[in-house]
Amino acid sequence: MKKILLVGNPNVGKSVIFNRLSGARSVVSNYPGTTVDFTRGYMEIHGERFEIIDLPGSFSLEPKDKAEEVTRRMLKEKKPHAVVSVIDATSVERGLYLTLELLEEGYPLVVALNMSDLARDKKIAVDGQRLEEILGVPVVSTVATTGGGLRELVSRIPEARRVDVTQVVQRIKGKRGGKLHTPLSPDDRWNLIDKISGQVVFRGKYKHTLKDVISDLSVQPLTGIPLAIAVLYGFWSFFSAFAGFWTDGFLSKLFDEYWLPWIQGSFPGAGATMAASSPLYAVLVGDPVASSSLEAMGVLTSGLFVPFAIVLPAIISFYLVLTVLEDTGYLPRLAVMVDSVFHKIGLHGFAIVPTILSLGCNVPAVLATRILETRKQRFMVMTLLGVFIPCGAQIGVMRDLIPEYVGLIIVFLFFGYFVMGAILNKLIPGTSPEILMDVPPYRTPNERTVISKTWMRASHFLVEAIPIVLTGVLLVNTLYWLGVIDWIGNIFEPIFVTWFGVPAETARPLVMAFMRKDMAVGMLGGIPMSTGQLITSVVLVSLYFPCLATFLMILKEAGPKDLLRSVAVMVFSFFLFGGLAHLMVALGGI
Amino acid sequence: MSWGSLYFGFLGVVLLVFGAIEFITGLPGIREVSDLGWLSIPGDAWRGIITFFSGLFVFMGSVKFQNIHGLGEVVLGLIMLWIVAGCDIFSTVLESIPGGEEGWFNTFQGFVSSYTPPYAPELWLFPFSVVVIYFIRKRGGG
Repeated sequence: MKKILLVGNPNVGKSVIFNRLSGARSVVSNYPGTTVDFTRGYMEIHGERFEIIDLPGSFSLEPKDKAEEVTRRMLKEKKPHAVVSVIDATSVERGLYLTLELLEEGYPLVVALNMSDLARDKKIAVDGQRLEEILGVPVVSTVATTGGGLRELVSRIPEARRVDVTQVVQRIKGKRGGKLHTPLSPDDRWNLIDKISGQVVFRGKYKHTLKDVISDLSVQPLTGIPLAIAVLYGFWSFFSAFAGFWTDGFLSKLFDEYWLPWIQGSFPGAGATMAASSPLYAVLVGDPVASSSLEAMGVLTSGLFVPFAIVLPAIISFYLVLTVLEDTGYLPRLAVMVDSVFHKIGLHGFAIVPTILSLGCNVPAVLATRILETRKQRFMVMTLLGVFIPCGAQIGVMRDLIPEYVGLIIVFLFFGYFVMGAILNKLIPGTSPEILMDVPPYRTPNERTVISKTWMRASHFLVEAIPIVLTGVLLVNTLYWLGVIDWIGNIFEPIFVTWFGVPAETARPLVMAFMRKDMAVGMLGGIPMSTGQLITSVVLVSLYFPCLATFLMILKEAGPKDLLRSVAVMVFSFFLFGGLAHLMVALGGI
Repeated sequence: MSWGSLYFGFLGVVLLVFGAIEFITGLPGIREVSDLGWLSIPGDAWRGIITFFSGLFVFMGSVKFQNIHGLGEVVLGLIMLWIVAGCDIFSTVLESIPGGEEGWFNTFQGFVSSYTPPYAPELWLFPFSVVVIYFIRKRGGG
């Protein structure tokens, strides 16, 4: 099947075009680096079926990070029938650099001048016809968010053609000026771009708008930090209100007053206690006299209650707000704000993107580390978020279990993130180069995109996490029934009790934490302990190894050697910060 | 000095004062929720910080309200106020629906009583802040 590749700088709207053309639902956001891997879809042109591939954003064909490597590799491997070079019409010069490289390498090209509405707003006029004459390939103005110009783009894809770049030089400089040799040097390419833009880009007098002023204010520390506090406050308030509405208002009642008594009474094999019940009852239903689904610990009680009644509302509310923040363009501004802080630990502001994504789920966050340039940076962020950043599901259960201490625990974990980050920065060899961050304009989020993106992420949770939760509870309950958990608890009791100050029974949730951390935190609710011990236990579950899915993703992205190094850091952090949490709880008299 | 400048200067000072009170009453060791019948001061230091800075930006912006940068500062301050007030309204609406111990849904009386005062200062000041939309439109939008 013939292939069409979508190529362009980061955040120029390639994925929006891809979704429109293929009818697929690729994740799009208003910040560079959303697409870190390729996505396939299909489309028809004049009755012929084509495979269309959305590639990660790239500034040039000389890759600077893993996402750009994917683009380079796909261009080489796929032998495309056509390459659509998507250029941001507000920044034509930058897009032309990549476009010229594509022409030099002989790819059959069509140019989409996207975001032409924004260019108009900024009083930038781009003469597409003249650009087409100069480049010798079709040029179409598009507004991907509204679908404007896409019909024309599709109709002109069959006209994609290869052009000898010396012809472009001749068209601009005349026959005598065409002495440049291909491949062009970067300086020659920029000189050529300068000449081209001089003939096709016209900038009118632009007056600073209110949106520009607010954009500037949101990255200046004096105004940006209080705004960031307000945004995070709003994030947390919405998350708590929405999750609380469903969990406390309806779902807990449904599970505790209807489902739990029914299954406790109707499932065969119930005894007076869990030990007196049949093994199957103990594994599937759990405690026959538990009054809440959280405490019952069975596959069909806690195993269903935690993901459906606690985690799902939390995940939906979390992703809803995160999507709004992504699509308005606030996230890259936050990245600029925290840039200087992250520099102190050898990272740069864009590390905030995987870190915040990690607050939703660690798995896509590990994937998002591809936007970081060096192996050192990627290793550091993967490890740090695996250890210190609790996922949305886990925070949802924490909110249900110890609502008044969640903020404190998250602050403690972020403190650990930066301390451990500083240590790793000193220990790990490698460079941490400076980058220039691209801050997109503020945009009003499209409600359909927000809803579909939230639904995609929530359904991903349902499909991926729930089987793991149920298998995990089944496994842990079986191990518990066989006495393995008690055995582990007995072996580690001195460490649990002395170093961490928590009961030996915490072994059971810690085994579960390897499968799913949210379920592990839920299990803590069924163990009798003081508030201080509960806080320390929640911190321990967070610091413990990341869940299985994250583990596999780190293995895939970093390889076995870096995974082992990561595990060493995790073990060290677990003992260091777990002990520190115990000390702080003891000193605080909680 | 324009009417807009005076209006937002005053609104900024009121926000500053309430922000400071909320911050002080929300400090650890104090954490006091004051109920004055029609006004309640939630003892929440974070909220106090946000409202205080919201007032500061609105006041600073009001001084140079005639230029776009002044209006921008006022709008930024009011966005912060809207976040706090919006979250209050959202949680009030959601809390008014479930019935708690009594049943699945709230009674009509319980539902209505969820919306009666006392309100937090941000909620009282919210209607006064939307005046800024008039000034944004007057200047020709964003």
